[in-house]
Amino acid sequence: MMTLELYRFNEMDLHQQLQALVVKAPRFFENTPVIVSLEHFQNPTVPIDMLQLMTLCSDFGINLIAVRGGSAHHRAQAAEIGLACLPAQPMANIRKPAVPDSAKPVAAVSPLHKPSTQSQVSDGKVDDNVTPLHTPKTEAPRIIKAPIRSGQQVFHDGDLILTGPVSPGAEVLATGNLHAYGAFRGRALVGVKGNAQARIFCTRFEAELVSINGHYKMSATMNKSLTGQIVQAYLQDEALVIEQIP
Amino acid sequence: MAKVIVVTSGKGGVGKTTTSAALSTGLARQGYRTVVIDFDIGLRNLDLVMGCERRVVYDFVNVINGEAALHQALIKDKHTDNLFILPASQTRDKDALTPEGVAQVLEILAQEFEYIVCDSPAGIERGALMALYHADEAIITTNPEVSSVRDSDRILGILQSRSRRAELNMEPVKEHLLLTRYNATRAERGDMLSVEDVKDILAIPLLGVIPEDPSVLKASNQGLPVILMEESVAGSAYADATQRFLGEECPMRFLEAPKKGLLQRIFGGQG
Amino acid sequence: MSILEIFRSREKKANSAAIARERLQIIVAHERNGQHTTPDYLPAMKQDILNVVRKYVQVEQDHVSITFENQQDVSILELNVTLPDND
Repeated sequence: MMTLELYRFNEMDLHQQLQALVVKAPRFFENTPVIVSLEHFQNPTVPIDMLQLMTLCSDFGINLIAVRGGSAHHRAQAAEIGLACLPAQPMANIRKPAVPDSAKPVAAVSPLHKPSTQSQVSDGKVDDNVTPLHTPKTEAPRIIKAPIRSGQQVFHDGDLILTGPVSPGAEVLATGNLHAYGAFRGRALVGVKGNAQARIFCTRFEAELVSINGHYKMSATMNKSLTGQIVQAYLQDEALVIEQIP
Repeated sequence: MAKVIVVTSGKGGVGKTTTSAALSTGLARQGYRTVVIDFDIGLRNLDLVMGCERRVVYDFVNVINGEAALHQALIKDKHTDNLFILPASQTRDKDALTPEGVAQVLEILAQEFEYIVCDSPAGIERGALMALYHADEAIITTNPEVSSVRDSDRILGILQSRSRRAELNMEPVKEHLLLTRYNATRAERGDMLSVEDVKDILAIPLLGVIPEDPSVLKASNQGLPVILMEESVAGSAYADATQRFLGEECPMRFLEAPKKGLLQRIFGGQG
Repeated sequence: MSILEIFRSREKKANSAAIARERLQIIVAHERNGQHTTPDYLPAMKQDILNVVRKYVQVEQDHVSITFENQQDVSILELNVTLPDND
């Protein structure tokens, strides 16, 4: 997913920069969902006018969906206007295990070479029946029964199971898989710390956005026939597949 | 133990104050000692809808600031026994409400009243948060219209995360959906979200449906809670909703478009 | 009130709107005064006056009206108490 690395925020400067980009490539953004990274924001204590930032971006066709990293204050500001808050990426290699395991030397376990599943994906032949859905080291699955309302965000490091509905404007993020048993009308982002095997299962699919491991689709570009159906989403050859479960 | 009810919606103009006036009057008419509080500091309206605007001497903020005793600020309703109004201040801003101050006032009221109805301002800022913080039950006032439904959904999220009950990990605030300004004819034509649509999206129990009715405007013109216009459609729908709130079985009325003749009686009668 | 009665009988529709207009005129005029010129102690004074009056005559809260007006260098405090009719 496209990321906007923000070092400081000054409306005029950013406007100029974006303008320059758009002059070079007029159709560069076109309602593209973009994550703002605040990981290298110069002064974490200076508040950011998130609404101004979002409005400015949308003027250029940039659809801000989340912030990544940033100070607690910045994240609170982002949450206030309904942006999702993604955890900061661990340095350089995003596929580091979430929980550092002191027992093993880091070099020996390369999460890039996870068992069989990884090679299958790189072969381009994914067999649904044998692909294990295990995610890298994470917490136990979390079950949420209450409805998730517009403006609320849920993040879980692991599999997430929702038995209530998810409203439009709500965001659900998981590093593992997502199982939604109520109507799902919000945004689903899985594999958010880097996990191409993460999947989304919905018994009543009406999502605004689906994202797996940074590959996303907005509802406008999804097949309309999926609406209200029992659906799963997964990555195949780096492409996001959303299909009805027969 | 007094029950604190917040009437809230997120969106403005959907009928919170009309509902607060009607529900509090309904509860008082059933014999419950009831007080209704206007939380819309700086933009008070409840006094006008209840018809007591000329009797406001002290207000909620005066009481919080210790400038007046609670019994001095409480206005006895002239239409209904057992009912008192605590008006908002018209001259301060909403920062005048402090969490401690509101808590103290509610604590004293809880000793004298059985129901405390909090009329929330629109929005999700301080005033609205103060109004919902102490709630035991919430009446989510919603119009069958997309922006209202989404705002209601947002306020439901806030109720379950930022209310006192949520913060203290108590049993969650009990939610009731009250659909107002419902036009069955338009819903049947497919021009308006139906009761089922809204129920499906918000996923909370339905307390009542108040049809769009010119009586609501007539009532507020006169400073009369619409529930007292017993012949009116909206008034009877509010009376039903009050019964349901008190746990009585009461079938839903006015969900279907009235037949031609009745339609004229209701909508064309005054023209 | 009698003027209102005429409205009432002739044009049903004007009835509640006329009441609304009258109520708003009073309240808006009152609040405009209140915003800029009236001292803070006015409501408290009104209550005190009311209490004094009530020692002798039973009057309703809305039967006491206090207006405060600034005219150049004079301030006028007008107190109006409507006493109930003796039956």
